[in-house]
Amino acid sequence: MRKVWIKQADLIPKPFYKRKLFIFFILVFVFSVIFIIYQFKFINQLSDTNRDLLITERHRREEMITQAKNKLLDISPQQAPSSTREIILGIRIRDLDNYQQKYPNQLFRCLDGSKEIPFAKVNDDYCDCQSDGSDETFTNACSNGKFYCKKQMRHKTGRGSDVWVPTSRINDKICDCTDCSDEFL
Amino acid sequence: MSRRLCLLIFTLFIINALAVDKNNFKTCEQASFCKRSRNVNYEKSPYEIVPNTLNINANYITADIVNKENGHLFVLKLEGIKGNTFHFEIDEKTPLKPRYRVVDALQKEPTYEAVKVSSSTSDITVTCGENKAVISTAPFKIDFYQKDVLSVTANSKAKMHFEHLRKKLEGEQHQQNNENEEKDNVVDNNQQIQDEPGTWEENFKGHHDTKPNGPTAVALDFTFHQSNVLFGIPEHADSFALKTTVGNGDPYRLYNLDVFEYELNSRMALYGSVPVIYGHGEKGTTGIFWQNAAETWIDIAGTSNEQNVMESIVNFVAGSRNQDAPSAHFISESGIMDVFVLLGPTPNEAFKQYTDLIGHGNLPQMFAIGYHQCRWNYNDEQDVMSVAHKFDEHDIPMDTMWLDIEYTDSKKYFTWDHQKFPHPVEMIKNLTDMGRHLTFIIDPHIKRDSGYFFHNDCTDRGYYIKTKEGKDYEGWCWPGSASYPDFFNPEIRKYYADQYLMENFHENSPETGIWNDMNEPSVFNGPEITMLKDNLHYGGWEHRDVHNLYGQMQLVGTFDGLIRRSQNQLRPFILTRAHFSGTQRYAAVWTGDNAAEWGHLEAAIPMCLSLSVAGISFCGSDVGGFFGNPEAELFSRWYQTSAFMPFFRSHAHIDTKRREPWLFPEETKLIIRDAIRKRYSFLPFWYTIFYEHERTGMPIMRPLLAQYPLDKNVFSIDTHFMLSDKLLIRPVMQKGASKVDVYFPSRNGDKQGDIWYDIDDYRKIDHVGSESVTVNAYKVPVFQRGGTIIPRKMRIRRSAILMHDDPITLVVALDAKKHAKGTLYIDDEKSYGYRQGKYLYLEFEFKDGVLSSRLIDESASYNTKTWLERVIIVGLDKVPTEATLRTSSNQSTKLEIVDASKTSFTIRKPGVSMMEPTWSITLN
Repeated sequence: MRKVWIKQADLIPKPFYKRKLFIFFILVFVFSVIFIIYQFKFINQLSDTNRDLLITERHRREEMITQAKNKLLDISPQQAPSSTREIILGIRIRDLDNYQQKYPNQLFRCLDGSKEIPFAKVNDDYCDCQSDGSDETFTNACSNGKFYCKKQMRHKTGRGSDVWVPTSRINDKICDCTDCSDEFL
Repeated sequence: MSRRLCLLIFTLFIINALAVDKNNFKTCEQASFCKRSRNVNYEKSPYEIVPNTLNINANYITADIVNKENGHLFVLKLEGIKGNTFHFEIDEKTPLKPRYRVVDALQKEPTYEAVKVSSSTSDITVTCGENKAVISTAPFKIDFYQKDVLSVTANSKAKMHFEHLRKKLEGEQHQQNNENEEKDNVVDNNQQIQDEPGTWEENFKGHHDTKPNGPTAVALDFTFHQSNVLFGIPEHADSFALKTTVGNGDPYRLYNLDVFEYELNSRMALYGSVPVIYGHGEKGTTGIFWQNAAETWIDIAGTSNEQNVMESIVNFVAGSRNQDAPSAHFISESGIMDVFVLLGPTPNEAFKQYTDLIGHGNLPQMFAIGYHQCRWNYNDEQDVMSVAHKFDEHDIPMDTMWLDIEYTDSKKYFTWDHQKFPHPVEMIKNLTDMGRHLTFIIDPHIKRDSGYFFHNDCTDRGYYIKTKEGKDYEGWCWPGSASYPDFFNPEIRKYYADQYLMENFHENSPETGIWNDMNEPSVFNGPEITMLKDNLHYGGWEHRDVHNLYGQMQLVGTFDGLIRRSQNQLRPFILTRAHFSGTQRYAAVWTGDNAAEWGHLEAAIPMCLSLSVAGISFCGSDVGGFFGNPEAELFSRWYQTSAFMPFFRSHAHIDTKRREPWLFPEETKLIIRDAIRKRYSFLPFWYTIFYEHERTGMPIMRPLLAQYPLDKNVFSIDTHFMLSDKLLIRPVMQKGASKVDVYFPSRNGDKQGDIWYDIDDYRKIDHVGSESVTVNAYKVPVFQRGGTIIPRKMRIRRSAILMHDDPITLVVALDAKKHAKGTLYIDDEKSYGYRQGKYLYLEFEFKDGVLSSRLIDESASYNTKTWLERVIIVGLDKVPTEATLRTSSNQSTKLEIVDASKTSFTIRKPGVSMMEPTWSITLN
C-alpha cells in the first residue's frame, strides 16, 4: 500500500493569523486602499497648489482680468503693452515657462517653434503665430488658437485630454468652458 | 389615416420614379395653344396698323391694329421709360370680357419719359431720349434702336398671333356656317381655330380642362439683331446660353411645376418662371421682359452656341454669320401682350433696367448669408440641439437649423407636433442663445381637417381657390386632402399674414425664418402635379391666367406677416421654391429638388446665373443633392461650390442617409469645414455685395459676359462665375479632378486682360486664356481681380452674427497701374435701421502707394466696434520697410510690415476704427 502524505494544515486548520501569505495580501490591500485615499487627498491638494501657481492671490487674478479687459476694449495700438505678463489666461500650466519673460529683450517663441516674436506682441489682439495661434491665448485674434479652461476635468482621474475651447469662443457671451472661464469680460 | 395614405402615396412615388416621368408633363404638341401658336406660319403678318388711329400723348402713343384675316381690332400702346427702356402692350380693343394683365410683378409704376413722334404712311417713329422705336404699319412690326443701332425687332418673323375672345359656335350653327355658301374668309379662319381639337376643351392624363373662354393665346417673336447668344428665362435645368429649339424638340417652357427628380439639359418647366430673356453680342445687350403669368413657351432660333469650330472659322473668314440673328418666340396661353424692351447696351445695364422695373433684391440679415443646415427631417428637439452642438464640437460655423414638414402636427401648418417638439419656444431660444437661428416650413396647402382652425376659417369665409362650379377646390398633398388659399385676395393674404404674428402663433419667434415650399402650387393628384387651369381666383380670373404668380402671392403674405411679427424691426428671411418676376423683393430661391450627382452640382451654376440675371440673386442649390446619397468627394466639392454662391444650404431627402459633415471620413469633414470657414472669412464682402445689389440692382452672381462683354469665348461659359466684379470662381465639379481649366477673360476681345490673384496663395496670373490649375481636395480655384479691394474677417466664429464686431482684413489686389478700389458696408446686420441712415458705406482706394478710406454716404453713420486688423497688399514689386497711418484727427502712427513674400505683404494691425471718416496708410 502506498503511503499518502497529507499536509498537517489540511487536517488541522491553521488559525488565520498564522497564514502568512494570506495576511500579507490582506495587509497589502489595506495599505493600498489607504494609499489611494491618501493620494486622492494629495491630488486635491495638488490642484489647489496649481491654482496657487497660476494665481497666487485672488485679487491679483482679478487685476489681470481687468488688464485683459482694458486691453481688449482698447483697440488702439498706440497704447504700450502691459509689462506684467507673469500670468496669462488660457494657457496650460505646462506651458507657463514659455509665456514668462525672464530677462529683457527675450523673445517669445511660438509653442510650435515656428517663429519668435517680442513679448509685447503676446496677447496684443493680433495673431503673429499663425501656425498654432499660441501667442494669443485670451484674445480672439488667432483663428486656430486654444483657450484652456480654468477648470480642467483631468485632475480627478489623472486622465483625459486638456480641456480647451477655440479662442474664437472667448467673450462671445456664450459659456463654453464648464466653469465659464472663457467669458471673463 | 391620412398620414398613412400620404406615406403610401409617397412610397409609390419613390418606387416608380427613379428619374423624372416625362409623361406627367405636357409637350408643346399636347398643349393646344402652344401647338397652334408655334405652327403659325405667315408669309406676311396679317396684323396691320389701322391708318389714322395714331394718338399721341406726352409719354406714350396708341394706335389700332387690325388682323386682316378676321378684321378683329387690337390696341397698341407704346411708351418710353427712363433708362433705355420701352414698354408696349397689345390688347383687344373691345374684348368680350377683360383679359388678365399682370399687376403684381412690377415694384412700382415705372418712370415714364416724354416721347417724340413722327409718322408717315409706312411707319411711325417714336423717339425717347437717345433711342427710338420704329413701328412699321403694314405688316406690323416694331424695330427698337439703341441710339442708332437696330437692337431688337418685334414680329419680324411674322409669328404674332393673338387669339381674341370669341363665343363658342354651337354645333348647329357650326354646321350652318359650313354649309353657308357665302361664308367669307373671316369666318373660315375662325372656323379653323374652332375645329382644332383642344381649342374649347383639353384632356391630359385623365384631367379635363373645360376652357370656358376658348382659345386665348398670345404670341409674338423678337429678333435680337446684335446678339450671338440668348440667355435668361429661368427656371430650367439647362445651360446658361439657350439652345435653338426650332426644329429641335420642345421650346423652353415656363410653368411653375413640382417636377419630381428633374432632368438635366432639359427645357422642361421647373418650379419657377421669370419671363425675361437677354440677347448678347459684342455690339450690345438687349432684353425682353414678357410680362405674362400664364403658361408660356419660348421657341428659340438661331443661337450660335451650337456652332462647331469649323463653322465659326468659316463665319469668321466670310465676315458674316450664315445664320439669322437669334430670335425668341414667346407663346402664352392667356393674358395680353405686355412687353418691356430693355436696350442695355451693356449686360449689367440691361440687368439693371430689368430690376429697376421689378425691384431690387433686399439686403438680408447677416445670418441668412451664413451656412444653413437642413434636412427632411430633424426628428425632434434633441436631434436639433445635438446637431447644433456637434457643429460646435467640430468647430464648423453654422447659422441656421431648418425644420421640414415633420415638425408640424400632421402637416397642419402653424401647429407643432408636441410629441417630438414639446418645447419649441425653448428650442428656438436655445439656438438664439448660441447665436443661431431656426427656419421652419409653411406650405400653402391646407389640410382639410375640421379640427384645424385655418381650414375652418378658410371654409367659413370662402378663402379657398374655387373650382369652376364655385366649390372649394380639393387636391392632395402632404397632409392628404388639402385646399389652397387664394393669395390673390388681399383679405386672404392679410389673414394668412396674421397667422405669423406672435399673438396668433405663440410657438414662434420674431427671429425665425420661414420656408415656403410646394407653392407652384404642388397638387399630387392634379394635372401635371399642379392645379386645374379652370379653377377660379379672386376677381373671377382663371387659374390659367395667374398660375405662375401664385407662389409669389403667398410670399407677399408671408413677407407682410414677418414684417409685422417683428413690429417692422427685422428683415424677414424667406426661402421659396416657386418664383416669378419680382420674387427677389420677398425671398431667396433655391434650385429645388436636385439629386446627388455630379451633373446636378454642375447644373447649379447655370441655374443660379439665369436666376441672377433675372433679378433673383439670392440663389443656391441643395448642397449634396436632395435625392440620393452623395459620395464623400461629391459632397465636399458641393460645399466648396456653394460656399461661393449666395444661398448656402445643405439639404437631404428623408430617405437618404444622415449626412452631417462629421458622419463622413475625417478628411472629408476637414475639407467641408475648410470650405465653410472660407465662406465665413468672406462674409463682409458678401454683405457688402448684397447691399450693393439692393442699391444698384445689378446681380451678385454674374456670368463672365457681364464683366467681359467683348470676349466671345465667355459667352457660353457657365462653369465659371463672378461675384460682383471682383472674384472669379471656377469650382471643381469633376470626380477625381487633379486639374481644372480656368479661363481668364479678355477685356477687349483680344489679348488685353486683367491681372488675377489666387486667393489662397496670391499667385499672379496676367495672361488671357485658359490655364490648367492644379487642385487638391481642399482647393477651390478662386481669383481676385487686380484693381479690387476685398474686405474679409479672419476670425471665424461659430455663427455669422457673432462676428459682427470683429476686425476687418483688407486684401488689396493691384492692377497693372498699381491701383485698386473696393467698398465695405457695415450696419447692425438685422434691422431696417440702415434705411434710416444707420450704416457705414466706405470706399477704399489704393493709389500711388497710399491706401485711403472715405465715406461714400457722409450723412449715414453707425456706431461700430469694427477696426482694421490688417491690410494685405498683393502685387506690389517692392516691399516697403514700414507704413504710416494717418487718421482724420491728424495723428500718425508707424505700422509694421510683416509676412512679406514675393507677391504680397501684410501691414500689421493698423487698428484704425471703421468709424473713422477718413484715414490713409502710406507705404514708405
